[in-house]
Amino acid sequence: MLLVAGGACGRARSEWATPSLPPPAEAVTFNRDVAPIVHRNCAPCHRPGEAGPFSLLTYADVRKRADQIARVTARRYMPPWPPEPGYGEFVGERRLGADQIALLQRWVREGAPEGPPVEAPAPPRFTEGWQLGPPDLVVEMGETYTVPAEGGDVFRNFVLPVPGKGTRYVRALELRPGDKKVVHHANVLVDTTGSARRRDARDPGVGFAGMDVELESDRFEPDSHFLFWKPGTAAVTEPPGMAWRLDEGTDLVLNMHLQPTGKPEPIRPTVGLYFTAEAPTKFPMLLQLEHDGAIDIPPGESHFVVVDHYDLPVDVEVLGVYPHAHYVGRDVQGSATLPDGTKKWLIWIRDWDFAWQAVYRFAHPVFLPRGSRLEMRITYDNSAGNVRNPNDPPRRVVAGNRSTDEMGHLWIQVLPRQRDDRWVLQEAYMRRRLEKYPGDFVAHANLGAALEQRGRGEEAIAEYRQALRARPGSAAVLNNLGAALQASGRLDEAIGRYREATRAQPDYLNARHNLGGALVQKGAFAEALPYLREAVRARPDDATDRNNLGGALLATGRVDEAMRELRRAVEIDPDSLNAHYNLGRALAARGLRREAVEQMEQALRIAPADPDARQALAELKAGRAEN
Amino acid sequence: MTGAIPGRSLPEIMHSSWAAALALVSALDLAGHPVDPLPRPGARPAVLVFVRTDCPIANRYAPELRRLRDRFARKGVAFWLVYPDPSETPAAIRRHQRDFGLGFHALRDPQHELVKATQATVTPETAVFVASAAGPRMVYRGRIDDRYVDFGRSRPVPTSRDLREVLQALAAGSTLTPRTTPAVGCFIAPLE
Repeated sequence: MLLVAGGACGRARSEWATPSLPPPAEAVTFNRDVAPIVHRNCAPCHRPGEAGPFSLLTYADVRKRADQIARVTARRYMPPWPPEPGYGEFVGERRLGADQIALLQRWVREGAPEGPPVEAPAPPRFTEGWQLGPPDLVVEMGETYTVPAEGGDVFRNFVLPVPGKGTRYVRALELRPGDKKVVHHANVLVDTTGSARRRDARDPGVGFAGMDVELESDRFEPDSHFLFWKPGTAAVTEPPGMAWRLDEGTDLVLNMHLQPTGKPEPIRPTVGLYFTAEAPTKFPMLLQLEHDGAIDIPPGESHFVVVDHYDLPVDVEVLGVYPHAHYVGRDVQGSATLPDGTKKWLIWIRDWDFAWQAVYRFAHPVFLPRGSRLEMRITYDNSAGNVRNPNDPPRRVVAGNRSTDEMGHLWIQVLPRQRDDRWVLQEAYMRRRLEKYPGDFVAHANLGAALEQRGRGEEAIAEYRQALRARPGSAAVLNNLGAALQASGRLDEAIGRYREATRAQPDYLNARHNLGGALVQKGAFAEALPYLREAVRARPDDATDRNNLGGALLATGRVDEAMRELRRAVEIDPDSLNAHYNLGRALAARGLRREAVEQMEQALRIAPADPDARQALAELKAGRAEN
Repeated sequence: MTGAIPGRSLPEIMHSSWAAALALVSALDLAGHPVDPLPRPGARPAVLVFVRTDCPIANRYAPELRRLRDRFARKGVAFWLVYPDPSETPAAIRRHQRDFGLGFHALRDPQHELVKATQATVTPETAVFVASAAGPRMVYRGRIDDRYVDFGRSRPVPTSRDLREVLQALAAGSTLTPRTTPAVGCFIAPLE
């Protein structure tokens, strides 16, 4: 699976409720009327150490900025909350009502009086430091990156290896980005394959450039979670049952939007991780609506529309959305059409501003029945009239990763009823992708994996072969094809594909391990041994790898070594039929019959009908009887 | 600086916003001494740049301001940073200048004398004065360039570098027709 990751000005609308101002005779005061609005809506960012350039806490702070506050709130530039009201209800909505805006205007017009001290509200209280308390693990960037004093905005990606052993489950991630006046927003991506690390190594300096990052991934988790930071948003704790898996050796990738401030700004972001012992029970999935291939906007075109859709093959709840476009994007719409034809809005941003992009989480999950059509519609303005147009004069704009290119994505986080429904979603997702991009490597490769998961091995094999036509040397697909062939009993062909995969990418461990396993299955134990030993070195706590190695050692007459590996295998996984069986055979070969019988009995406890174990046990008992 | 400055006449001030104030007594350098930055007859042109220590838009212009000064100070233009907020202390201003590499002459304008003389409304906003027999004459007031169009709406690069053009014209010895441009930034709060 390939995942692409990647803040807007509201516009006043006329449908606001009639303002309910204090009666004209009564003065509007800071203490009674204005402070509650400012403390709730402005102070979370406008306070020391936060992203706002100045504090808005005291009467003096606010009095000094009164005219500006009146202006920016009337224009809905502040507080920044781009989605249209009434087109999706989101957590943490920070949007002033028309009555509040009118009240601020009137307060300023009337001279911004403080009011009687007795009415002064308590100053707002905020949690200092980690918002969720001390993290279980703090991961810091190894080096400091310095944002230059000036120039365009900087889009930089930093790789943070996560230390520690074993698999952990993360219930919350909190990012402390460094100076919040510099960091405009950040996405955190989870890289399980080292692909970002390899990319980083090719780019000089700290981190690597790029507005959007593409990572290789071979699983849904944990990519199915939005890990996003922007100023003023509360750190998110995942809902109960939705922790995400963090495997050993995983890297976190910070995809950051940084703004020069006028002086060089060193930053060194820190990530706090909060673990839970509870493995997840709910498994969401991210769907991306996009049609970047259709983005080809002539210079001067002020109304270029890109659409995409996806038909849901199963019931889902929509948990959140993350729209993403660059500087030419103007209007972003996301909606769903239900099977009965009703239209349900997910989000509408009428005045798209890249700088204020954000993840929006629904206040209440939006249920969409099977057969609903998810829809995206993004309008672009590539005319000179769009002041944010990165090209002067405007030029042809196509899809790409630079700020002068465009994108148009609507990420949608859905929660299906069952974990395995994700493969159904994935199959439909990739088939839709093939409609947009015939012959596409990613789509064929992912479709193959989805079909394999759904038990449709022959179809999967066909998709993998299609993927290889698009990208003949893909080690990952060669490896997957090998596994699908092996599962369908075509062992020699499988071994051939594994060999090709290891030639294409000699350090590709999965392919090497699979080759070892396939050689064992073929009975080529001696040839398999080096691959199996490698596998055990790479994953010392994997019972399957240990068992494979032990079995091959046994078959090549290295009984003592085999016994060590197999004892370790049953220790790691006391429920491994094969490990008990193999250990039993090893013990028998050493003449340790009583222990051998115990192991065969263990094997039969796990699989009472296993013919090999039954026969072996019978032989062992017969042997003892003979003695 | 003491006493009346020759060459300035009251009627000029009263009839034209382009003229500067009478003898300035309330703009202060960081040591607290009154300073009049406006050019007397025969003196070189002066650029006033209104700033705040905490205005993000003004701060983002620090590198451009440095470039303009490096280029035009040699050609005889005096550059002044003007901090109009009375609550910004000399220590905070020195720190700001150090952080942003703005080693210019800095003035505080606690009585808003310069604000009134120029009718500047935001930071960053600039005013360019030339000397004349009738007193200092303001030939430009407004933005540094048009990168910022409004709050939250900025161009990736400016299309009109207004201050630079004015200074180039001055350096070339051209006679300038006074003009203004709208500046975008942090409002200069009126005095209590």
